Amino acid sequence: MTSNLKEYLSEVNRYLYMNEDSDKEDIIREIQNYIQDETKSLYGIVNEENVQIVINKFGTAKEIANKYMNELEDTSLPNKKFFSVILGVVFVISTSIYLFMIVNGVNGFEFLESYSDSNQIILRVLSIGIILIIDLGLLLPFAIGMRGKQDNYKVARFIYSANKETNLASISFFRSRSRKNNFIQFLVSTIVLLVEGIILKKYNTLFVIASTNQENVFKADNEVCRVISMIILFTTLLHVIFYLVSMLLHKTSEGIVLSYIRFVLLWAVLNVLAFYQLNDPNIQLITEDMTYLKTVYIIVIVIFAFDSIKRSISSSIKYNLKSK
Amino acid sequence: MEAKLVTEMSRGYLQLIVLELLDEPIHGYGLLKKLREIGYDSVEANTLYPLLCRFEKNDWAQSQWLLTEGQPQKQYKITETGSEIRRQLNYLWEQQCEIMKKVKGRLDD
Repeated sequence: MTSNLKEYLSEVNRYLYMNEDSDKEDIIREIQNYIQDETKSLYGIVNEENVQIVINKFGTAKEIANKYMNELEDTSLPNKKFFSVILGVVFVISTSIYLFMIVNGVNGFEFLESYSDSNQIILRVLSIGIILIIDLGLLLPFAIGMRGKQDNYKVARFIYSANKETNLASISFFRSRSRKNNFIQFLVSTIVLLVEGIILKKYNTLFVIASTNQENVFKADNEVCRVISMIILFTTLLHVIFYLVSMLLHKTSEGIVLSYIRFVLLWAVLNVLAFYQLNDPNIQLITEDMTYLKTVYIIVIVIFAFDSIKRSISSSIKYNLKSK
Repeated sequence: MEAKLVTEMSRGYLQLIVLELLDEPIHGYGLLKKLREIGYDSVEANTLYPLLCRFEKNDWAQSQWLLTEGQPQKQYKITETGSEIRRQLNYLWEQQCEIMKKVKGRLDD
């Protein structure tokens, strides 16, 4: 086999989503046979130059992978149904819990807050975890995505199929970003991480306001603020890892899993901010500033959460080459 | 003629023609050559191979890897389901031809 054919086949292999590896192998072997047979038939000799002409006529690796996936899309219907049913069931359960709480006048948040007042950190984490699980089955795709490579492909295919129906693929916003953009995002995230690290080391909290009129530096450094600061730092670190992995691997399945991890974490941070009241006497003086900071941070989280969803979608449709 | 229109029109015919040619076991490249021989020059390999893949997934065709001249080739053959689909497509094709004849006849009048 010529080196360019080998490279071409490995590229097709990379772009193909298949539930079964054996199906993928069959396709690759068949493409290999075709290119070799056609080259032999047209030119008599199978060398790099002739193979390249046949490859060029056959189509780019992305186009070919896309053609196969489009043809096989109908047959993935059972998977689509399977995921739709599971997500639907979780959604119904979550909604029922919320409706039950509303109808019976039960404030589930208060119940959870009573846990969050506990000194035990594990109960605090648990209280956030419960909300996370009952909230629209957010954890489900994440859990499925984490199970293994095959399931990552299933998640990717599921999102891909959903996109095809809603035609999100035709909206340029949902197209995958280039490597260059990933590099820029990586640089920005790294700088933000460094700045956060320095502030956290110096003040023990990220909720710091340096007044320009006075020399005073207001800082909110109660336990809650420190926890939130650590989560923010961790989230930024995750961003750095996310973009680094995106740059190096450029693989869809990992990208989707990372998107889910990031999204779930951001969601958790948002809930921490929503549940905990920053009412420590030490920071009462700067309540207004804290409200401002909280608002800004919530907006930032919503933007990042949206970006995570966008990334999941982008990863799954980057093979859709029906771009205009 | 606009390429997209040709592709749309050809797609349906291609499925039926390929099903007709799958009575005997045949590999993808052999099928491609046969199609070219009978004058179906417009068919592209990058359309035919994914189509065969779908036929197999839909159980319209079954495949088997066999050694031909020392080289493994994936041979396809129509299944019972595929035969039934072919019968239905042929019926549809004849119906549409009849409709087209009537329409053209009316226009000629």
